[in-house]
Amino acid sequence: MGASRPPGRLTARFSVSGGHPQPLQLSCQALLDGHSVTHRLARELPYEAADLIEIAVSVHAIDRLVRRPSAQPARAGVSWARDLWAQVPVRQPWLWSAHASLLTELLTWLTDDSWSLEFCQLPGGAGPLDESQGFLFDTVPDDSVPVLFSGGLDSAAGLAAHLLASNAVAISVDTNNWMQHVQARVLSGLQAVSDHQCVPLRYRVSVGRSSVETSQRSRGLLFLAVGTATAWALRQDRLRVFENGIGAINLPYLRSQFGSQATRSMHPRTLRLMEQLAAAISSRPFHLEAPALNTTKAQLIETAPAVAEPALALTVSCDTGFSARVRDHAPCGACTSCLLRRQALHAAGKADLDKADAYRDSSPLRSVALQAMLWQAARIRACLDQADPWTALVSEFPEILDTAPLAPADVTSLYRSYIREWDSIQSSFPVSSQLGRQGKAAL
Amino acid sequence: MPDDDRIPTSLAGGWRKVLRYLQGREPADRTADAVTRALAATLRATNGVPGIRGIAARMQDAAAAGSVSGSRLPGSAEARRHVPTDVAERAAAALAAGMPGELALVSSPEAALVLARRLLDDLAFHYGFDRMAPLLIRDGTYGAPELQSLLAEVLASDQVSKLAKRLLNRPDGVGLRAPSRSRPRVAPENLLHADLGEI
Repeated sequence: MGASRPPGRLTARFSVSGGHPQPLQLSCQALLDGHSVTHRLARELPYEAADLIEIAVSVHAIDRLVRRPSAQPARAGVSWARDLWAQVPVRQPWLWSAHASLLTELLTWLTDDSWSLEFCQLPGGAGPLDESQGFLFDTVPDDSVPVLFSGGLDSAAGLAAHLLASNAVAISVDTNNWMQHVQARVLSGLQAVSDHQCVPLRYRVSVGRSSVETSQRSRGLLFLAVGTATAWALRQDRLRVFENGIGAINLPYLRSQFGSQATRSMHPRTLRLMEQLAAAISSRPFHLEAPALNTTKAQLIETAPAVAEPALALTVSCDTGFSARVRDHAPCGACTSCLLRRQALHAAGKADLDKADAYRDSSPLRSVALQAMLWQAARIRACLDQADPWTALVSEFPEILDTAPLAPADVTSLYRSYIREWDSIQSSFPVSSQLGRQGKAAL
Repeated sequence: MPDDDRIPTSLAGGWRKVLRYLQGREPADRTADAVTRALAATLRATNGVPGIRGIAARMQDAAAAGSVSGSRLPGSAEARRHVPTDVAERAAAALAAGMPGELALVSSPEAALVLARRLLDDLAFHYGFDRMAPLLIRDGTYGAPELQSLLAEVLASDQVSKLAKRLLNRPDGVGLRAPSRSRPRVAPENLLHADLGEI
């Protein structure tokens, strides 16, 4: 049973480019609520787990509160990177100080920013995850595998396939009621897949309306931190994430993109750096299992049983689908996330999972994102047609070198499948059929 | 998980002229001249790549050691702040991974020239071509394979090669100018009878 304590207030500090430090109060500028998790587990989170989540939430809040430099193309060549310093109170400052370089390496990779992190002692009971009430009893089956669940198509399809074989704990983060509602509906639908149990564990994280920066590239750390910490609380040293290889690697669509403008939340390198951090903090190996990294989104969808399809239809992939915080807010249909979903559903022969009027923009013919995707597909195809496709891919997309330790042959095969899918849907994909002559030429 | 990818598409002055040339299907050499001028202007405005010779040296070291394990060379962490330098680091990593044998056989100045040449190609795509390509394909001006061939032809121009040499002499971009295209002198008596199109 947890000890009774007054509710705590964690106050971090941060500064930008060597400026005057500002306070960041987690109970004020950002909200972190994990009480439903600790009550379901009937135990407090281990110190390192609570610290990891609170650090990730603090970093995420700072990421949202500090505007990036203007992205004007010829502004003295200045990139969108920021210089950020933060001091975060934790339960074990000596432990985090010893491994701060691993955390800053991961953050720099995710955000392009330079991070300088310091840690100080958190007063007892002052953390948002410190419990003030007693517990009942643990209701999570012992053999449940911790799985990260976002409410998107990949995580739902992967979880559906997983539930055919074993129990799962679906760990999620929601930032608003609409996201929570969608995640709950999808999980409820997935209960029909098999007799295996899926226990939902949910955290609420939200940054106040004073946030000015929308890029939130630290979001990947937030999700992985919550998943890793909860796995520790379950006394496990592994976490499963379901993300398709094309989306995870996320090669830049255009060479005008700089660094993490092509998001790296679930990139193979992100997963590797997170594994290293988790192992260092816990002094035990930690495994981030990503079984779908060698598959396309369409192939991942195909692994889900047919009985899961009603639940898959409820998933949300859109970049703005959750951020609008509006109930039943229709996905845009024109962002890269929506377009990859549409491409994958068509390639998997499951286009009818999305209603005909599901999208705000049903024919994104003039969408820059679509044209960028088609231009990228044309460049990938040209590389795959070369005698040495891997060398051609490295020359055209140097970022593909970051996929190590994935084998070049596997990555090449992944992109060959992806291009084959584009070729196979030319007549059925609504976007391409509306593109007419230009679209065919681009494809 | 939604990506929220950012896709820059805005064009600075000189590159808008390149776009007009491509939209108007101007001859490749004329477009190459416009591209070279746009590149020179971009390098002046963005302070060039002051560390290009050092990056080239690290590129050769990494190629020789086989130590390229990512899209940036080892030791390039600070490059994130300056876009052209980061583009150079990425180009160097691609060259070191893709042609280590060739880089082992060339001198340091030659390696720097190889990198400068590749850098100009990549900057042309970063600041120009990849911001235009979606538009040009969407509007049906070109199909993707045709546009890829045309852009390769434009970048293979001697003008771009000459600018690469000039960049190595002015790596900070100050005073960097596109080379003027030299044209064979025509004697006045021949000029009188020459076809205007040929001139």
